[in-house]
Amino acid sequence: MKKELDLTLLVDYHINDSAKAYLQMMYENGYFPKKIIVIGVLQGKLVKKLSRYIGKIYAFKLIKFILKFIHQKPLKEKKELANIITRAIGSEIDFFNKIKLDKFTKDIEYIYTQSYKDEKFLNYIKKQNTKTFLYGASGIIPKEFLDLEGVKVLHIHPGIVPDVKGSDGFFWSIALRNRLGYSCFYMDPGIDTGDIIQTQEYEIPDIKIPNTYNSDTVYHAILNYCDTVYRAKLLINILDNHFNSLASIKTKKQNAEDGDTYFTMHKKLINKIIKKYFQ
Amino acid sequence: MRPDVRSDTNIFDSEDFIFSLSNSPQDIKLEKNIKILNRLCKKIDVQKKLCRVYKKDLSSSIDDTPVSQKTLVLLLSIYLNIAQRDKNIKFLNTALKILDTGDKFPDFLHMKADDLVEKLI
Repeated sequence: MKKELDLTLLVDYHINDSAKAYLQMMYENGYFPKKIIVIGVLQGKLVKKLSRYIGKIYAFKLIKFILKFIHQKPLKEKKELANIITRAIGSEIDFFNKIKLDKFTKDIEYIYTQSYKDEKFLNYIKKQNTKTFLYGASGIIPKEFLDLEGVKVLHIHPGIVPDVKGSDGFFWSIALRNRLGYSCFYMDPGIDTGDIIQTQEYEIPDIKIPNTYNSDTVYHAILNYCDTVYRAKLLINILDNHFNSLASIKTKKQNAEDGDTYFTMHKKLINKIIKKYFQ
Repeated sequence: MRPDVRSDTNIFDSEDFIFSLSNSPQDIKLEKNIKILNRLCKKIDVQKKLCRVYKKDLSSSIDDTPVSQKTLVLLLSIYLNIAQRDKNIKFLNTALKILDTGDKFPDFLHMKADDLVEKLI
């Protein structure tokens, strides 16, 4: 049965793997976001210079096209790794073919902004009918956005909060708790300190990646094709329980002082984790 | 001009703190000191630099002068010792980042850090 959610998905112009996993798993489970907002953030000196000649939007699209072209080179390797990982975790998510957003909702809007703090952008968000968002884009959502009246932003973090907050949560969860951990909360301006909706731990999946790939490639592949799927799994779990009340789910407050915040994990530790658990 | 840190109680002097810990290892076990060491992780991990003087609550630096190499070596030893004693991977992570700062550190500290990576993961 098709269930339309009172939820708007925020995605980058170049739809990232996390958004792809959310969308495809929602679709597989019969959930459809009411709206998708595609955000193009016009940043960088080159975009600004180019925009003088060809306009902001074309400058943005041209840079994105060039970047995409540069990143094409290791595509074969990425596909091989995605194949190994998704097969091991029983996922059928397609991370490589172009995603057609109109398959998921009829209401799609594109917006270009200099930053999430931009007044025009904030006014645009203010005018939205659905003010519950799922964040499937990259970058930090500023306080100005989160403070808008009625706005709630669902976020899924790869760590059990408050114990594992911060960066590289996927790898810290393995190092500290010997399991994968995920938390869904309404974002607040702190680092992973929002009110908790649900947490869930999983066994570390049995993924065996040949050691012919370099560790940096494996690191990104695990985050792109494994972590994203587990985030989407928790999302589906939450939708199953609360699909008609996403703005008002009963939450548990966090005390910002509880638990610990972790920072980017050093390559030596990441490599040891990859070697021990994924090779 | 550098602030007169010793006479000012509203500041946190990183060098004083690290030297005093290294002179009285029994104090390293104290929870309040572990908490401070935990706060200092962020300075090294995120700001990539440990300054000599911070506001007392460690929210921001008062003086941009980095701590001396000798202080960094002492701090590195402290982090590695706690990592070993408490199986504290967060402190080991910070220790590895200190070792990456490009300054010269004794070989035995590099070896100890590598050994802990093997043992703690």
